[in-house]
Amino acid sequence: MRDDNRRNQYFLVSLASVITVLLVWYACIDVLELKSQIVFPGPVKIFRTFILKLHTRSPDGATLLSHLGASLKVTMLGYLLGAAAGIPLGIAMAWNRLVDRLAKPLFDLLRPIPGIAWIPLFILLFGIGTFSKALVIFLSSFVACTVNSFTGIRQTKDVHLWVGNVFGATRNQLLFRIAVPTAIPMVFTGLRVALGASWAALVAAELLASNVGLGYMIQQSRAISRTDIIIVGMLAIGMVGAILDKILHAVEARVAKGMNVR
Amino acid sequence: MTKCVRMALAAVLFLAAAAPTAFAADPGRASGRKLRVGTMAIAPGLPVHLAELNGYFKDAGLNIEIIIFPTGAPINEAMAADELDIAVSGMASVYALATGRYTYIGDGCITLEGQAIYARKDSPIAKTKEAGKSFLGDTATVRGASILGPLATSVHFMAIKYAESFGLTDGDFKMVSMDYPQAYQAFITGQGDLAATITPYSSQLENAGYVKVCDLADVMGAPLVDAVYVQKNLMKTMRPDMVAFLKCYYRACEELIGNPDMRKSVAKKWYASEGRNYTDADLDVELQRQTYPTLGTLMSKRYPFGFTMTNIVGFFVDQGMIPEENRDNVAASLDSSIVEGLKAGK
Repeated sequence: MRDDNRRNQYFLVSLASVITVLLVWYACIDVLELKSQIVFPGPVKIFRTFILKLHTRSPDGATLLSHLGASLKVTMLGYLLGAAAGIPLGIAMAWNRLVDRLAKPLFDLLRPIPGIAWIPLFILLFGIGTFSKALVIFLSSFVACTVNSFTGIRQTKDVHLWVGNVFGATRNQLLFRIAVPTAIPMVFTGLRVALGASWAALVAAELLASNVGLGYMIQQSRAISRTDIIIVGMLAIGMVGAILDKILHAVEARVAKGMNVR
Repeated sequence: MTKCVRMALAAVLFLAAAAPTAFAADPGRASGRKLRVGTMAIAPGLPVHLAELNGYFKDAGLNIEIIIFPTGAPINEAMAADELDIAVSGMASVYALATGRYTYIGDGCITLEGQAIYARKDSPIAKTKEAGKSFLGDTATVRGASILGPLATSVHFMAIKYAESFGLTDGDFKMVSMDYPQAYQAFITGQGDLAATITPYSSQLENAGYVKVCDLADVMGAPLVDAVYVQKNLMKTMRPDMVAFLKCYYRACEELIGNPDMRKSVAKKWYASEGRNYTDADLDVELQRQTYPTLGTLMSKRYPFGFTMTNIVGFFVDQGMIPEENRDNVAASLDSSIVEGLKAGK
């Protein structure tokens, strides 16, 4: 009962903070007119544009949901590719010194390069289709998954491995029965960070020759001075990102039950 | 009060009264306050560059800072953010003018042709032509085509008009958003079905054997005239500066028209310094395809003041790119008083 009350209170606090921001925004733009609606529209205009974009293709050629679907497709492809490559690599680097020595220099060289810098090269190498855009997102996802998986394995306590050795565990058993389970919370942290980074990289990816998607919608709206649509796009990216994070958190809570996950 | 104090007080009062007059700016002279001018390192921006290079702005008492942008859309953004005072820009200016926040004070560069859509030699679009049309393609071949080029520019407008001529809408083809250099690179490496582009990429594609399917002149029916527009408040607070700027701008335009060799030489050097390498052949083509207004041609029957902007706004309203309620803002933004004054020799 006490927990329910506390949860309700936290929910109300969160709701109150969002409402406060909306009220301040409304007051600044619609009431006090601190900035022109063309430069920075108020929440009422944004809401109207949001509703309009749900069923109107103009001015960018697709509805908000069509753009969202296209963006999700590209993001999920890049994200899953990044996770599929990054998690095994991070585990292998942390577990095997030879793999670490082979992969680390190249990984450290490529890690700081932002996805957007790869765009011209990806156009030339892979064309202007979905795969090139997914690759830009892949880079964001891959780095986060690799680093966190690496850290998760390295956090395995030596005493746990010694116990395994005492009971005659093989190296593979030590890895899959002790180290990997220990690393699961960090792996999921990496997956959540990667999801956020992938979704954030979306606009950069869709600079690469797109004709649909939330990033394209924002680009197109930028070109025709429609700040209201830009903000609708930004909010859509933020809301969907938050929803995806919640879904992943729920998966994590089931998979990593009892491992300090609430 | 002693005599000395009375005299001192009188002197102070006299100076206080005289000071504003002594230091007041001549209402007809430029103020000398910094003016930030946004333009592009292509033909539309060349008169601005030449005026700066030859010291016209300085001689007129202007303090000009030129900021270069890749296309008109970021110029619009910079104007909206009050980071620029004057914009010398292309068709994208219509989006800014539609907001009602600016004043259109002068016509800019005139594009007669050269903004075009290109296809590969073996493309079905290059091999078909509808009866009665001066350009290539038909409904079946253009439907579903992907056209590479930047959004909200004259080439985007051209692509939409091109598709419309076949009874297609903007949903029947894919406008793939890319800046001119990236679109050119992607197209020559086999991406996309068509490329909508400008000089020098248009002449480079022609030289490489690509087929021009449509020119801007085909779909517009008239030359494209660029815009010189300013922050609205500057017409009140810094009008002499606006007059001086336009005077220098049109002086540079007349020199560019009158001396093609000088135009080629200045353009080649400037474009190269901004990362655009034009060959002499590219510049020869640019000279044929793009010209400038002069005091003699301004506000003439052929080039009514601001006619490109007032003509195209309706199209963009129909496309949903400009809200209906903003339609009249473009015509309302036109202020030909400075040009009229310059023509009258004032």
